[in-house]
Amino acid sequence: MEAREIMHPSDAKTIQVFRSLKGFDLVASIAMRYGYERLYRGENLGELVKVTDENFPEVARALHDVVSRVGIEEPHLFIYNSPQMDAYTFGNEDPFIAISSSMVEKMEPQELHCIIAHECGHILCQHSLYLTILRIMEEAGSLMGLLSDTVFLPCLMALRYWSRSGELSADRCASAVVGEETFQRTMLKLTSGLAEIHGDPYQLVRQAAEYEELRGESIWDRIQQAGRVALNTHPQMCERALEAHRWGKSWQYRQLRVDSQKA
Amino acid sequence: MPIVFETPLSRFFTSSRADSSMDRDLSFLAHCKNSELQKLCDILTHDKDGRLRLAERLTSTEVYLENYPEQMQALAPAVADELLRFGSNSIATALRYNTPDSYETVVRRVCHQMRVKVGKYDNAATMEHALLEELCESGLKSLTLEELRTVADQLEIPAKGLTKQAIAAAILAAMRVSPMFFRRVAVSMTYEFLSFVIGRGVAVVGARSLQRSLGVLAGPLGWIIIAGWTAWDIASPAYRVCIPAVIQVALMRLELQEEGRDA
Repeated sequence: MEAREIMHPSDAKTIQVFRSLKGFDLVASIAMRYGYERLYRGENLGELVKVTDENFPEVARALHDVVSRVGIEEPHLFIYNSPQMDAYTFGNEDPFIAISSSMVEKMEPQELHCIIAHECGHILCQHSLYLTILRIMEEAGSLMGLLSDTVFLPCLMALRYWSRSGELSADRCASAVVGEETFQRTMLKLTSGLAEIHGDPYQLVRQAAEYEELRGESIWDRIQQAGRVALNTHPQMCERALEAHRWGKSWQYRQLRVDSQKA
Repeated sequence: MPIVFETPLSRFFTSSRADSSMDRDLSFLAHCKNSELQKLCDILTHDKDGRLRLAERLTSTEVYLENYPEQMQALAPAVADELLRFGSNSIATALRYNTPDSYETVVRRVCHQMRVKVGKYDNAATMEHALLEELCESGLKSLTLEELRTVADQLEIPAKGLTKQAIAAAILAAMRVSPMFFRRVAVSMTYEFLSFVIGRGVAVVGARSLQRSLGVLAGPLGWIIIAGWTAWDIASPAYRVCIPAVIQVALMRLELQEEGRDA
């Protein structure tokens, strides 16, 4: 799999802009190498449980399988204690994935594949490198208080917009690895927080149509809804489900599914 | 069960005209070969290094996801719409309730930019023909004697003992007499000179920036004028996209006409 095959157009264009900014890559990679990457590596080894073939064979198998399909170097995988279903990835030279205990408990094996494939999608697209800049701004913001919010707000909004687009690329990766239906079921579980889901796995796609109807009623509705999500780092769940559904009709998706099934 | 949902969430205020109507000068695109339409579509969506164009809007549409690259005929109206948008001023398009200029206007603009003489009442096909003729003529002039002899040999024009100017004149005369010759020369010459055409477009933009930077010295009133000018310029037709796209359309029209003659 190649990054350009799964990248959402908005994500691909924003990364092109980042790369065209002189010094942006350099600042991000220096901050990553000497700051966050080593910091998190220490934190992971100190506070989280590392997944190996011996202690969590099923989770380790899922990782091996997904990595071979996505075609990246195998990242380290950790499990952390949290009742929230969540997962994240970080690192550029030596990336890792961390998954919450609740996720491991509640997800079926294929759904766990989906979560890991989503994180591998971030690694494939090198999102962590550029996410570092967002982190620096956020942390500088919390240190400097209101002033920095005023200064950084437009940049922060732009970076959050990109962050949301990046999630859609990672969703495409997950969808290509496990298939759209499994992806939609995983989204439903993540949204509801429930361990078991019955009925229509495309519920969120239907909800997206309803949401779009609500949003399209007036310009005021559009502004209100856009304002509500302007600072979110992740797109709304219904939007993610809809985007994956739209991409599920594409030739690129079909090609990647064939390749994924061969792997 | 597939869910039909047309409006993409990513578009805030705009709606696409692509599915409703098609410019009459571009309606022939729906009958062109899949591979030719794909070439045109790629010119509009990707730059020469294969990166997505920042201003393109096609790749995130439902119709693109569903049809590219296998059923390009179904994508033809959207491709035509995208071409017209690249050839029109975005601000003027928005003021006309999201309606871009006609293809005839876009071709006229391209001919003007390329300094090709066209009549006030010439239609799009005639202007395209003049554009191709001009490109072939300037292309032939820039070839060496050996290269011209090779072209003449390929076209089965006896060129033994003739000077460079005489061979070029013979090829041009043959082109004007025979539509088949015209097509063959146009196809072989045009692609050679696309990069030259793009380079020329960039040079013109550079010259404008220089003129504009002088306006900074004109004080606050000058700044306001410059700001408006810059906004208008940014919204102006993207020649580096629409020049090669119009040339591709011209070649496709020529090819279709030729096929019609053969049939």
